[in-house]
Amino acid sequence: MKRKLFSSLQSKYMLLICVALILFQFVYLLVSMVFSGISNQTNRDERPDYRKVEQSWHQAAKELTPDSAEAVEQLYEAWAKQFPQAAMFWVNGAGELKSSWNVERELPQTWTAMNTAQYMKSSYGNDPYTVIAFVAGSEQHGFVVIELPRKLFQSMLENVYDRFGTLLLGSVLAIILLFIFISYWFFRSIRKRLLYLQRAMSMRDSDNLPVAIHVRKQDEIGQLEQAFNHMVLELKQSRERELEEEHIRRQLIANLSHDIRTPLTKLRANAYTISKHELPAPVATAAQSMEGSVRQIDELVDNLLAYTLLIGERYRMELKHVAINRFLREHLASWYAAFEQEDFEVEIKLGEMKQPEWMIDPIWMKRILDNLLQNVLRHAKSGKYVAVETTSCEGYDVIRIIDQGNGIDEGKQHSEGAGIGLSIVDMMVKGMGLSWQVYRQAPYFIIEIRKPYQRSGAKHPPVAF
Amino acid sequence: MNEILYIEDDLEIGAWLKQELESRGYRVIWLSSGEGAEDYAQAVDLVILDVMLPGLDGFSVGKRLKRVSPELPILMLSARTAVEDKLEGLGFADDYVTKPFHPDELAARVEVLLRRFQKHEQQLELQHLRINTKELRIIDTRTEEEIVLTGKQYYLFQCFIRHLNQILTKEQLYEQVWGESYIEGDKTLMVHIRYLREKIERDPSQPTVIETIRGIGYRVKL
Repeated sequence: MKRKLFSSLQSKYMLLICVALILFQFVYLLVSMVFSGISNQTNRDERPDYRKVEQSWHQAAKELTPDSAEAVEQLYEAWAKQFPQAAMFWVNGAGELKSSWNVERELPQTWTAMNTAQYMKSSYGNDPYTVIAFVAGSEQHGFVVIELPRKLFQSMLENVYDRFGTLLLGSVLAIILLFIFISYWFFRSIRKRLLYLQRAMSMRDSDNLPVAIHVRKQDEIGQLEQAFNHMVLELKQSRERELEEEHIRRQLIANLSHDIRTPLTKLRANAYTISKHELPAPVATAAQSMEGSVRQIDELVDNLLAYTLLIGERYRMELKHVAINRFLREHLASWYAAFEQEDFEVEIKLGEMKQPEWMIDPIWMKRILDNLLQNVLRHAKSGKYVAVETTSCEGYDVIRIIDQGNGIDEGKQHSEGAGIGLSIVDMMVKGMGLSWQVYRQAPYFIIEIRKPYQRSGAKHPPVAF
Repeated sequence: MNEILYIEDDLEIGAWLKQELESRGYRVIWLSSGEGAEDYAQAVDLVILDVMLPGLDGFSVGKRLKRVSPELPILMLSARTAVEDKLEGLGFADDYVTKPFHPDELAARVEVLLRRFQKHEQQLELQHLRINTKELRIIDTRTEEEIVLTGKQYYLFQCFIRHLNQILTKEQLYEQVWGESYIEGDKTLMVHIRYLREKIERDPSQPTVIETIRGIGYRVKL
């Protein structure tokens, strides 16, 4: 895909780094240029030198005519031309202040050894720079003093630094801070978008699939968003295909069930019609047997179709909280008449359980109970006894179905030999996170459906179907 | 005599069941498709409806019939046994029976529906009781005296009469009569049943009209 030059995050980041590097380099270059220019300029200037000024002043004082005010005045004028900021004064051999030039402060009129020493001490190494020289090279004729501001001796670079140094430092600091801010802003915007992406990815639609994201930019994150949207689309298409397949499969099974059951209905109708007539005993038995077989085939077809769906993991399971005793009571009410018809003694003992509500699919549980009770009715007829009870045991709650028949072969309860009905029971019980046990306790044969206790707050165990 | 509209496209099954129902005292109108079924909605007491029909399927026909006549009981009779089909059927129909079925079971379910929707004969003989199901007047045939019930006893007995031969759990009874959720351990229902038995049973200590089905609930068996 062709993208704009700076639409990618990488390009933006590289641009940011390059601009920063160029800017830093530019600042350094600018500063160097300014300073080297000033430096060159300073080199060309004839900047006064302390040593030369001192020598010249001594020389000029030496050449003065003793006690000549006019000569001193000429000296002043000559030096004032060269150094307009210079302050000068003359003290004669008697220690009297004879004249001064450009001196703004009050000077002592009489100079003793004491105040002269005081003056020299205060001037030494300070600003202004002070040179004291004896007139005509002898202390008997007094001395002349020149005071020059020290900045006259500073280089231009030093002067510029004094004036613009803070500004320069501030500018460099500002540029660094600007770079840090832009970098922060750049990564913050990336982080914000990644967090948005993370939130959007964890959102689920009504069909429990992720929701497509609005793609705002065409950079790497935008590409990731597009890829995610593509994945969502594929997931949705896949789910639709799955639902369609499931619908077709169910339709096929429904039609198959219909096609098998319709002739069975006719068969049963005919068997019933025959059985209504006065028949010789063997014919009546045959008609009865035919009816029984039709019933068995009906159950078998039903179980076979359910088994097919379970094996293909297509048997829908919707777990919900079910008050198990109430559920059992209502379901057993529908079975009571069937047992009564076969002269069974029915005993229902629904006791208190630690978990009165089980997280199960009521349709699945009905099917489990139907299969088990059907089994009792078919294989434990001789015992004429069935009991259903609920209770709490060590570590689990339990539903017990008890009969006095021959029971299921214990070794084969979970697998091939126990019949398709019990295989369905096995798959459904385990599918809902329950377990089951079959055992004999003479004269009873007992089937237990167990629900282990769950720690409070613990989630329902993952289910297989 | 109750009139039943039976819609079934399979000729063999249709003819057999029509004959079977007629032999049990019902008048039967048999249609082989749902077309024109709505015309009979006001005239019949109950509809037995197959699902897979030519043209409109049984679900659509049933929904239309319910729209035309909401008080008309509909029993779906189908070879489709999937849970989804049953759920769809029971979304509007009042019962769902799967094929192959025993005619006795079908007849029992038809009776339940007719009683529930009060389409039945008004008089009912139950042991020593003669019951007018429409007005729910109970006469003790031994004395020919009317048994007068209180409000809750009346609703309770009505509930049993509408579900004759069915076992009703204490939760179902309580919720239908009191309109509230049953709380485990509540003795109200037991007390009311005891009072009802005192009025309608020959010997309330050994009840025969309202049977106790231990561990499950109660039943009134015809």
